[in-house]
Amino acid sequence: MRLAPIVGFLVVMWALIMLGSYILLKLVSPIELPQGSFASSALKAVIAFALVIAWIEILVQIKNVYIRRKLV
Amino acid sequence: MSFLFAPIISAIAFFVVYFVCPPLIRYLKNHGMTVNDVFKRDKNQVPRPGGIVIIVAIVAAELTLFFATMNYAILAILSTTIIAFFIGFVDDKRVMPGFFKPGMLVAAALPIILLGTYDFYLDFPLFGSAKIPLLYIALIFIAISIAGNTINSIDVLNGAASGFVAIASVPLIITLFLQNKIDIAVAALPLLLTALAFYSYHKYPSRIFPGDSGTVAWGAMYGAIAIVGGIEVVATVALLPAIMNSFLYFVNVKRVATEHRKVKRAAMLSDNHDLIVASKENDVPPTLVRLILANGPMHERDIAKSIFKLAGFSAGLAILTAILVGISL
Repeated sequence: MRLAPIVGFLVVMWALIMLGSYILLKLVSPIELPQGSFASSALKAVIAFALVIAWIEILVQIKNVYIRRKLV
Repeated sequence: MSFLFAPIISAIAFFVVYFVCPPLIRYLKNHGMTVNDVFKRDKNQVPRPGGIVIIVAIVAAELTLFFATMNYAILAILSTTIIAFFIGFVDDKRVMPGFFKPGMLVAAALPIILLGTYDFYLDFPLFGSAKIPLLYIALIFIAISIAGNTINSIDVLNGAASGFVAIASVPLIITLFLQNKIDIAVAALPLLLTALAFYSYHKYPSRIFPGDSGTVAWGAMYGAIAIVGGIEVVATVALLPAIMNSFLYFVNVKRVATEHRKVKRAAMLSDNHDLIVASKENDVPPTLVRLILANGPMHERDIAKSIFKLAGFSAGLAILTAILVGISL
């Protein structure tokens, strides 16, 4: 029971990996810009980087809530 | 064919560690190669680095498998592990700057690239694969560095690192067997069996510590198996508690180059010295141990058990992920 919040954190991390893979493979991967393949690849890389930033930010927010409640 | 070698490889890995550890412990003690056990009342001295016996066992097992199969993927895994061991060994002998291990571990990825033992595909659960030719090379360097440091960062309590590695390696081996990558699956067995054998000496109260040489070698080997075996996502999921630990640490410290021994401790002995309590200070990293202790003080042995429960849960998630990789929507 004492580990439940941490297990929840792990599940969120896993769910975010699943969600990220869906976004990358099903939504981002088919993107083709009329400007050519380099522009398409650059856009995909930027979106992938933004997803990583979003992943980190979501986890930081969850961590902050837990720390505030339990430790500080 | 290599399936037939699995019992031999397993036996070499397990028994080399199991039987060489006691004389190594005596040797390290006699030569004053010991460190404080920080969560003990009397701060007793524990021999280190046990990484020496871990690498000897891994080299013996993997070389046997390599000469039996002549599969260069095994050579790549072994070379990466050896380079990582030496990087950790340098850190065992003298405290290096914080950027030393992450930076140098990038070099440990070179054998995988030079031997060409990888493909450019990342297999995701449910949604298929992504081919990322240029990005994948960068990913190999990053993955080995992160895996090595992540396992190193969980080595905070008696038995934690060896027990965690043993549990996290199980889904890797199962997935590789399920995907019929038998050579790599057998090559992953020494990771499990050296960790298991070492755990019998490393568990509470520790008679030996693996040191950075042991944990970094295990971590780099873990990363190399994931890349060579093409099971990167599954391996990442199995490693989630350790990744979470590193993530919480670095988000707080905000500098990769900060040597972890110079950062304030997230946990400390309680006043009666039998239990460990979480630090209440604001500027202390909220590590995995600190989060486990959030509900109150615990005995060191019980904190390690909690880490193993989390590792077991992630191992289950990793096996689920492996099954989902085989399903395409």
